[in-house]
Amino acid sequence: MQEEKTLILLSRYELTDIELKKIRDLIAQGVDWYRLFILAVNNKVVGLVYYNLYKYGLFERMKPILLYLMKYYYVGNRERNKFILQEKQEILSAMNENGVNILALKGGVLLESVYKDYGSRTCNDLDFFCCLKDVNKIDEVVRKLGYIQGEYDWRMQCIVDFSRVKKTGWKMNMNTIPTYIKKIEGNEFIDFLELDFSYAFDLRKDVSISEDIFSQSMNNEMSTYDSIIYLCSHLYKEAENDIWIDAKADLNLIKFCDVREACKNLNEANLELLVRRSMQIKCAEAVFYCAYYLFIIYEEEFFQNIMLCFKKNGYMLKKTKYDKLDFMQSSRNRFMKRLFSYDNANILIGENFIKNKNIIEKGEE
Amino acid sequence: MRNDMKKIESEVLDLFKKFSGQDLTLESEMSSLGIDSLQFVKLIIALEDMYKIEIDDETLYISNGIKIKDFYKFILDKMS
Repeated sequence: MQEEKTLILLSRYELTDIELKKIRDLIAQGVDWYRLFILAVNNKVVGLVYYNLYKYGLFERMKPILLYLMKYYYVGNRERNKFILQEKQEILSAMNENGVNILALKGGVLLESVYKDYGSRTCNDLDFFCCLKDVNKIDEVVRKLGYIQGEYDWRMQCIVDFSRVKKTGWKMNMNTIPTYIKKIEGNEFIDFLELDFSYAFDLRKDVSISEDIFSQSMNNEMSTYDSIIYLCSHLYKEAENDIWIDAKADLNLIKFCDVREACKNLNEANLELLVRRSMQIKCAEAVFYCAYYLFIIYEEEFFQNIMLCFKKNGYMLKKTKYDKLDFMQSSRNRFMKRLFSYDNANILIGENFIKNKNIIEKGEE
Repeated sequence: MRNDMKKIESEVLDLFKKFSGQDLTLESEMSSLGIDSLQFVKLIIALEDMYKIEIDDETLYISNGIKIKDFYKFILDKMS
């Protein structure tokens, strides 16, 4: 567990002296840097690991080839993110000009508010929140900007349309509009860019809260509380849903790291507001789940206090489809194993899942 | 017109019954059909092909929370 412990300590944007000492001690005891690198890739935190290793001069005992690998990843990340943030501004401007209100989410916001070093956080796409009534207008605006609904074919290096089955299934089952994508020319750091528009926080598709979310927003961003709750809902949805488990994208450190960093400016007083707001918009389950596992991963009292605050307000989460939140060591170990394993498909429930997935992917039986 | 409406109602209900294997009415909710998500997608595509229409996005996005009569009304709107 030496590498896992080191990785968790490095997966934060700022380090305290105590955390730094722990990292130095672990390195002194011996860290398998190749193993740590693979874990960092799977958990999408290579940029953050390199950022901290460089900032605090922690490269001792690491082979130069690995150091360069991390550096190239970090530089590539930085250049990609510069482009992605420019594109975000263009999309927001185009939407504003056309009278469509959308809110930026996740990486596109966190890169500017939390991870101010653009190389430190991987950003694969741009995410926005929208109102269901605006989906047709959004479609018009993004198509004018060169986006279509489809996916990237790596072999042919081109964009292909979604099949009818996939597009219909997506609309019926996801809380996002089928992904828009555009091929990017003239930038060697990015081949294509995808846009995801969510019209609900999770797969229950509760669109009744949209108006309230927009009324609390400012400058094309959600309020601090709603933004944290959205991150928790996103994490919880992917952790507990067969589609993401099968795609090996159910759990990773960057999602927990995002929630932790976004919570950093909260104090005990506004913790109560976060809990109440999550209960008001029916996302308590997701926020409790994140607080529980953030406490297990980062061992910080703040997340225990969130759970206590839920308890005070009459809410507790003890079990989900795939996890037991019982504070037992065996449950903790099982979760950590799941977090750091490459593939969790063995835990999937339901015989029809793989069959249905193949049909939807291929568009035919 | 009234006859057409009855005919469409009967065709729509027959199609939903074929997929769900249950006795249904226009008031039946989609979430109560007991079919998996892929069957649901196939049902919608069959409905679109049958009437040469395209179910609009807003209906599809919230399809799990609506009733058979919402699809029926949508078809009538498109046919009128």
